[in-house]
This record gives sequence, C-alpha cells and structure tokens, in this order.
Amino acid sequence: MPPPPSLRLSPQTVLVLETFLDAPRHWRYGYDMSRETGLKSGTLYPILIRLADHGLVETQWEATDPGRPPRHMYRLTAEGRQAAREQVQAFAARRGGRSTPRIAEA
Amino acid sequence: MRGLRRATSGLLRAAVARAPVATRPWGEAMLRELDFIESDRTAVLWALGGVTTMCRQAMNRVANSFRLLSRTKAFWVVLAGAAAVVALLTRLPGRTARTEPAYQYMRDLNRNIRSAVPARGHRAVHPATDHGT
Repeated sequence: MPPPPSLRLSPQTVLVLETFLDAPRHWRYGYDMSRETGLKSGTLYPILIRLADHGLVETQWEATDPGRPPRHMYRLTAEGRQAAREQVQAFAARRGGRSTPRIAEA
Repeated sequence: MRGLRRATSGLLRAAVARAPVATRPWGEAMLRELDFIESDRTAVLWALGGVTTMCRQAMNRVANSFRLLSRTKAFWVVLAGAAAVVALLTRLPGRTARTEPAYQYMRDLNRNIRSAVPARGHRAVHPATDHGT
C-alpha cells in the first residue's frame, strides 16, 4: 500500500511507526511515546496529528477516576498497521538495511 | 524552575484556548501529559513544544484554506489585496495630494482668484482707467 499522497515519511515518522509496531494493538500515551522515540512533543505531536488525519492512527480519551481529567491515547488502525509495516520495510530498504525495522506480528 | 514550568504550562493552556476547534483536543492531550512528567526541565520543553505545535497547526490551516482556492480565485484574491495596498499607500497624506487632479484644479483656481482680487489695503490698478492721479 503506497503512503497517502500528502503523507511525508520522514525518518521521525518512520520511527513513530516502528514504535507503534512494537505492540500494534496497544493504546499508547504521548509522553511514553516521546520517551521511547526520543522525540520532543513539538516533533511527535505533528506526526501523530498527520497520521490521524490520514486514518492511520486512531485516538481515544482514557476514562480515569472521577474528578481527574482523561488522558489521550493512540494506536494504529487496521489500515495503519498494514501501511506502517510496508513503509518501515521500504524505508529500511531505501537506507540499505541500516535501519532494522522493529516489526511485530499483529 | 518550578515557576518557569508553571509559566510555560500557562502559555500552552492559552495557546490551546485560542487554537482552532479541530486541533484543540491535541493541545489538551499535551496539557494532560504534563501531569505525568516529573522533571521540571522536561515539562518546560514539553510545554514549549506543545505551543509550537499549536502555532504550526494554526498556520497550516490558514495555508490549507488558501490551497483549497482554485488558481484563478487565488489570483484574484492576491490581485485584490495588492490593489487594496496600493490604494492605501496612495491615500497617505503628503504623497498624492499634489498629484490629484482635484488638487491641481483648486491650486489653479486659488492662483486665479489671488491675481484677480487685490490684497486688502492695496488699491486696484487698472491700466485703462488709472491715469496716475
């Protein structure tokens, strides 16, 4: 599946996709993803927004205890899982296999 | 550092409050994550990154709304804008007043009146009737 026309696959985007693919069906928090990828919020969130706009990532507010504000969570959609696998592999191939894709089985 | 953390999270809160409705949940998400960051330094950087994201998203929306216009419409919008700027500049005082036809007409009229009507305290001199008496 080719990437959506306006989706720019920067190394940072591929890194985010790789992180999602570690546990493709699990919901993730923004700060946890930032620690795992080493990306600052100013880099990570625009990528997440773009991926969500293209339907590759879905979002959800986590229900918490009453009186505490909910927390935002993210995970790949079914389409996103497939696209992420293909794009991570294609990116690694373009770079001559220098980047090892961390692809987990969905 | 604690004060700086409060200041930057306040800045992020203000940016989220002014953000377009579509991007506001993302800003609120970044705000919420601040509660889970222990280090003040990391929280400051996180909040500043959030402010940057909100500003970038707002600018992207403006750029996208221009992109949605067809080329012809965009051309006319730019042309109208340029015309408005030129009109505004040419109305600045002292720049164009002397070049306007109305100004030239009034200036000539004023000159003609001054030459026809003698100044107060001076006697009008008509070469045909004045014999030097």
